[in-house]
Amino acid sequence: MTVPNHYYLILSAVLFTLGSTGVLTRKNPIVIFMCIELMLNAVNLAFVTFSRARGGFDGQIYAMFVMTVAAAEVAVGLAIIVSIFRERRNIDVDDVSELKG
Amino acid sequence: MALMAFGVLATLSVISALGVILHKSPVRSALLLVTNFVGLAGLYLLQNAQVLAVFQILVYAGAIMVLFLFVIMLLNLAGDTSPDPLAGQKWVAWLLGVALVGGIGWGMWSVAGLSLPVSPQGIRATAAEQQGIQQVQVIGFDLFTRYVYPFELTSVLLLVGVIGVMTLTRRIPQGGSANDRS
Amino acid sequence: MPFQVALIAALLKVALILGSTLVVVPMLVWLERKLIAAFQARIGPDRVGKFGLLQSFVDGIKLVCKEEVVPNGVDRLLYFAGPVVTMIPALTVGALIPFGPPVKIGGYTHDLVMSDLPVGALFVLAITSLGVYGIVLSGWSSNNKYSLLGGLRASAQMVSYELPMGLCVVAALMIASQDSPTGVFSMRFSEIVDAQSGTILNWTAFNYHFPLLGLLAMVVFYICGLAETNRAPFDLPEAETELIGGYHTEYGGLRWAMFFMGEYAAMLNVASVTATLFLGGWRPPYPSPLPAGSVLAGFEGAFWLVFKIGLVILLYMWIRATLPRLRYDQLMGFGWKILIPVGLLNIFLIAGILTFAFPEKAPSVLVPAITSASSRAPAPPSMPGGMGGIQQLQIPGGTGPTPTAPPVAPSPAPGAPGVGGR
Repeated sequence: MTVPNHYYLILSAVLFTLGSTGVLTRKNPIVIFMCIELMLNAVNLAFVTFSRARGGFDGQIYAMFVMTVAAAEVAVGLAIIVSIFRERRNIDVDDVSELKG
Repeated sequence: MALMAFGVLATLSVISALGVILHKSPVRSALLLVTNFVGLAGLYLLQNAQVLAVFQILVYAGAIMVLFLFVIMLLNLAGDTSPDPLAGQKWVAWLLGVALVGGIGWGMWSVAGLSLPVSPQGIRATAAEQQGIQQVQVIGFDLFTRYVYPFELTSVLLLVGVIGVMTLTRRIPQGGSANDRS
Repeated sequence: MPFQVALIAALLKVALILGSTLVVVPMLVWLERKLIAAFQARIGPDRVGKFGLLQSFVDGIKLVCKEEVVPNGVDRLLYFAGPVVTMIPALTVGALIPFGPPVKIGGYTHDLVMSDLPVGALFVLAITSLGVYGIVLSGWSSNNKYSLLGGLRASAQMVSYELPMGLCVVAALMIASQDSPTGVFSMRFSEIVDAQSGTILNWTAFNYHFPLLGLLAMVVFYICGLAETNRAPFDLPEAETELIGGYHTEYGGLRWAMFFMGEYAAMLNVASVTATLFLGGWRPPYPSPLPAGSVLAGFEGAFWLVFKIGLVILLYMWIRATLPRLRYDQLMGFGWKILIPVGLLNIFLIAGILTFAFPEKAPSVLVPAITSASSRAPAPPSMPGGMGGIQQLQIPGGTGPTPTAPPVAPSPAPGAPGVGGR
């Protein structure tokens, strides 16, 4: 017996919400990044579910693009975090509230 | 059977996601996120998306999370230690989260009974499958024909990302550095 | 095939693959010690058993019996998980390698492979990339700066060398697609091996349509394999002269033995993937005279696979005895500045040969098989147009086709590929 589509969609909603709550509650920028990854993955799950529901693989291809963009985003984001850390030895987001170098 | 597998994998991914946002240590968070990604790969397999499941492991677990761990280890980060200036913020965030999942979940539930029409691509893919053409080949074909522009754009994006990272983290030798104000 | 027969066959295959990995690994350790000794004009282990053959097993018993020392200040959970996480991916890859032709036993045909995934080649890359976690975890959790440095080095090194490795797998798949019986690109290991049937000139590495290019892909893959398994000259994560023992400095006894086993099993895996992708897998270098499906042919295939794996592993040990360790910046520069461009150029050249020398197998010729699939979709002949096929494909419980779906459904005619959904 197959799993109904809306089970997957609700799971995706739960994961997305957990990710967004993590972004709101955590102060460590790396953990915030991880929560963003969690949200992206929740969206991927929804893409795959819709892709299966409608047949074809377009949702899967979208999910692949999401992964690629996520890879680029993580690389740049972590580079920013590393350079902030080099400068002030501390990367709490509350302390990095001004754009001055 | 499939329902049971779904239950196990869904529980695994929800618990590990909770762990990611609740655990103090960033290393543990990262490892729980890897667990979550493996669970999601299982869910993709359950939906017969083998290529994406393998990509999930290869790209997310094998590359992106290793990068995360690398940076955490490099900076030797501890957990959140300084006191939160706005402690009440957290409860608001959780309330908003509950509201969000309620909203999306209600939306999903309300369309649960409806079924989606099969897309033209779906018909084509099913027919290709009946001819013995593998999923990988159909996806590869689509990626290089109908999605060729997004595909090329992604490669440009990655190139920009590589150059950006190198500019950001390059140490400028000997004085005159913008990063260097002692 | 009845369920019981399939189950017994599967269990036998699991036992065979796991058992041979676990037995071969100590033998490899012995072989390496003997060989390195010979290279260095020493004798090597010769006390236990004939030629010291049992030395590794005795060492294993010693390690199991040792006291387990857990240093202060370690992250206990991750410290204990590290060796296990190293072992798991190392033992998984063997399941994907076909080790012989299909064999008829008792009236049933058995494929001599544990699981022949349609995305096999990609799956191997994914599993190999998980191997780094064990090293990173143990390096982090040991609470030791040398371990931490080893873990850091390992993570950067493995992520970097995965890229050229993937490029070489792509090159191998492209060469195999040219020779495959179906004519299309496949990532299934059995089809990759089938594409290399015939003589030695049909193997990917020596394919006569792609002179030297296949060999170049194999060499780059091999170098990346050295880096992925932390073998000399790329053994920086555990360089004993700089980092004491790197990520396994703080481990001892059984847990250290698991790292050791995992490393040799990973070496075995890379060698068997090299043999399968580039050296014809279980295919003998001559057209086999044995009847297809006979048990003897199965043994012949297994023999040749083991022989090729053995050759690749001997080369590993030879390199270890010959080359000095690289510096870390040299390692990174070599990966990013030499191996990746070479891999890309190789793919480019192979694609050129595929396009110009085999126009009948170019994607634009094969593509209509996919684009026009819907016009050839099985529809009941009594129904006009394609409507019958569409209604059959509706999701169970659906409310019937929407008005927009049917008019778009037929794809463009063959020869106009790619206009499909835009």
